[in-house]
Amino acid sequence: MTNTAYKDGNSSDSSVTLEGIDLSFGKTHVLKGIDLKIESGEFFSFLGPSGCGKTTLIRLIAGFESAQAGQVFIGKHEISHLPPWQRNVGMVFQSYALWPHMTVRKNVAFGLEERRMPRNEINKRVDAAIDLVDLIDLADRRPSQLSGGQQQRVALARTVVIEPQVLLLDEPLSNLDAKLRVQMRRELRQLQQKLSLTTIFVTHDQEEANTTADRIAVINDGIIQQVGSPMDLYDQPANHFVADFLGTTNFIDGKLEESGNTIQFHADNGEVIPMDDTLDSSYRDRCSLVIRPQNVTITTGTEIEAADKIRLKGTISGKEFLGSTIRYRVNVQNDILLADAAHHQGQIPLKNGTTVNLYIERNQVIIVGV
Amino acid sequence: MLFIALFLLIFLIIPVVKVIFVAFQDVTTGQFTLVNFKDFFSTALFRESFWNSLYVGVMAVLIASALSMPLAYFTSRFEFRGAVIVQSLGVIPLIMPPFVGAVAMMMLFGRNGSVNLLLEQWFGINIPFMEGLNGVIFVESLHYFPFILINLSAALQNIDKSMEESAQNLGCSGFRLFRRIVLPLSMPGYVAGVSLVFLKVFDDLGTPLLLNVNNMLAPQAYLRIASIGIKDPMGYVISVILVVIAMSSMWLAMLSLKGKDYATVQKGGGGLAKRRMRPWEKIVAWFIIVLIMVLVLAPHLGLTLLSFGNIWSFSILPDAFTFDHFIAIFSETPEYITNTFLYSFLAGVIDVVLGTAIAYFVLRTKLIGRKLLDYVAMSAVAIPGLVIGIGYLRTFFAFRVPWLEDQPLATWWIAIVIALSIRRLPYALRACTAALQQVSVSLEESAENLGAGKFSTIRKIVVPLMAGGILAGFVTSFATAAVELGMTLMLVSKNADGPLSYGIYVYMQSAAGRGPGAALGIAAVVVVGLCTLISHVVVDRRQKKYGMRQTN
Repeated sequence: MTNTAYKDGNSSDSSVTLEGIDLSFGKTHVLKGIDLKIESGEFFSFLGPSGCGKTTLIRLIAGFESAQAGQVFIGKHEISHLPPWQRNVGMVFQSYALWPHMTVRKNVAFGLEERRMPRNEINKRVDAAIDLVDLIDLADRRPSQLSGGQQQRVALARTVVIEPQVLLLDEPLSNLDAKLRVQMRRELRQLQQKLSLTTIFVTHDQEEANTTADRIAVINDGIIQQVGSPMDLYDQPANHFVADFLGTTNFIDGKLEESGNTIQFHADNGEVIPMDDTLDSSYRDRCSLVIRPQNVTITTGTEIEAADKIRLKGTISGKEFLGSTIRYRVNVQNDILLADAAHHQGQIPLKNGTTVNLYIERNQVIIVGV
Repeated sequence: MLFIALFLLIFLIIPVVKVIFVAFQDVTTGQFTLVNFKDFFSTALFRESFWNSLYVGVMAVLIASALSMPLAYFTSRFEFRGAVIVQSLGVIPLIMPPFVGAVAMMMLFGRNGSVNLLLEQWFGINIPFMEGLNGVIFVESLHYFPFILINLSAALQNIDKSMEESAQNLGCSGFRLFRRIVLPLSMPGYVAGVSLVFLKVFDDLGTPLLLNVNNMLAPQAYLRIASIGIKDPMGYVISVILVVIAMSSMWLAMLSLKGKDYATVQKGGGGLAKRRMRPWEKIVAWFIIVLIMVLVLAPHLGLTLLSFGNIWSFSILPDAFTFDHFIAIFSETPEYITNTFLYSFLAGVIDVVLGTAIAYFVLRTKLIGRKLLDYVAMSAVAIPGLVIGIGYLRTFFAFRVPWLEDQPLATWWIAIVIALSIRRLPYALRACTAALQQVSVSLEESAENLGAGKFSTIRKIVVPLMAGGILAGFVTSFATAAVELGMTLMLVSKNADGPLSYGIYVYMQSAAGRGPGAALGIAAVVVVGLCTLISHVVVDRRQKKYGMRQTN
């Protein structure tokens, strides 16, 4: 697709910058001082629980909400003052919002007609866009005659046909069934790379965000908790919320104390765990150890002492069979720790009540504030 | 928005306030006074009228309830083929205002009407169906019972089966179950219907006038103004009483409905548990339905006979049948029909334009005062047409239209159009609001997102998607405006300006005019019925075509 007249000279830079965004609905403080830069061509995801403000944030970028403070930039241009129809920011709505009184073709042509483009140019582009999402055969149907997945594609075609500088996707997969969702998110990703569009994708589903996004901003309670690549967020969560929201996690609450040259973690359950002295010692007060279940090794044999491992003793109190793994619930003092063991065919799982040793590599433990 | 506010201010608020103002004003000095009300209540005729109006209203509600309850019960309780008939029963009376059928009912049920002639032949008795107030009660309750029927059935249909089942599960059954669960849950719907019926009956002018019952409030107000003139304060006092009673009956209904939104239907369909009728139950049910059906169709039947009848007096059926009356109304007074189309069309257009605009302001903008605008527009529903008519006469008589040889605005036909549109605005507004609520906001936002400005979005997305509702609103306004009488009676200054309803009234005054009057009535019924049918079909087809999906 070619560059067009309605983009300005700086269209090559389609990064999105949010500066000091503050927004309230009446007494509800929805967004609290959001600062963020999304790079040109990046596939970026807003991830968070419902009500965290992520949808409000992309509606703000699209111009449907206005902030009490802060600015939105595309490239170097501030767009905060522009009404939605002058922003050239394409949004795919959660409900798709296809107009039921128009055919697929009409729906897709709408944005170009609003731009007063010549008829033959519109036809050419609409055909290209419909072809892009593989719907040529259905172009003259009405939305009500299409399946959910097809409606989704129409919504996409309708948005990308105007060649927006930024593509916003508001939970675009949430109305599809599980299998289609996996397929569509792959297609979305391919389409985004093909068009190299700056894309912001709102979701509450971590798997969706992990599999599609270059970078993710985890949002909770109107605040950006952490920004990073999916693996960074999983392996190096910045705080309790991020560690908890992404994946299954064991938390052991307690506090760090120095004794001589070594640092010890005094868990609330009474366990004292010597820590690496290379650890970030800024957590002087309450903190939690974050341990992923797959990083806990479970054994029944004799105890081994190894300097690079933490050892805990416990009793098995329950288990869940997850297919490739068995997730054991292990009582350690007053805490319950989850430990994953790979499952191989024919293997007999450990019985409840078995006393076990748990080993955790020191460098696989993360400390976060409470 | 400012324009609409101004329109409502000038053509709704000021006339009504003016009426209230005059009622509290001393005729000669213009001082504030209660003396007019004292005069009203110290005159025996007015006191009698007041009690008669209340009596008629209450009795009509009772009879209407007695008619609707068994019907609502049959349809919600049993698997029953008659349900379809009951549903259409609900609409039939509504396509004809009561006054149109009043004279026809006189011919059928009056002292020398067909029914009593038959009764006398067979049993030697004469039942005074139509004597004095009885006639008004009879005609009104037959016409307005659908309001109770529709509301009550809807309420019953909204009760989920699980409500009943959980009561049974906890050991409640039979009549106790009905009294403790079903009755309280259906109460809001019933009360809403009752208040509507009472309001309509209390305000109706045409029926008592045509049945020659003058000792009621609305006819008294009309007769005072018509015979003594617009300076006589009694008409205004009665208007104030009409408005106060209408408002308080609506207010009472609202009060009893407050916090009782009993929509208990869960996903996957609702309604009470239905069972098949036993044979003897079926016979009873059919007997009742057929009886009510005959009563409901009586005015239509009578009107038809009257319109085709040659001479019909002291006989069971007319002596001979003829098309003369229909020829007469099209050749001698075609203006009644053309006026009706003109007025109702214009009023309908004004209503949907205002209705769409107000609905948009209320639902889609944050303009200050939008709620107030909605309330004011809706309040017209509680103002009797008669009162608006009187208000217009009083307010706009002094205002001369410069390009019409200084004719007063109040007597210009445009005044009728505006008054009709104000009076019917609530119906159109409700239809438009409902239609706009069906349009998901995201459909508009996506248009804006793709570059369409506010106006373009409204034109290309909002209005086309609302079209069904707008059409329904237009038809309701058009059809009900075509048969409005109370207001037209006050505002028509010469016969040439009169619409259908006025023509029917004028014709029905004399015995000789009953034939053509009835023919006009039939014309009105056909127009209103056809409009309703067409809009129903069109709206239905549109909904099918677009699918019912996009309503979240």
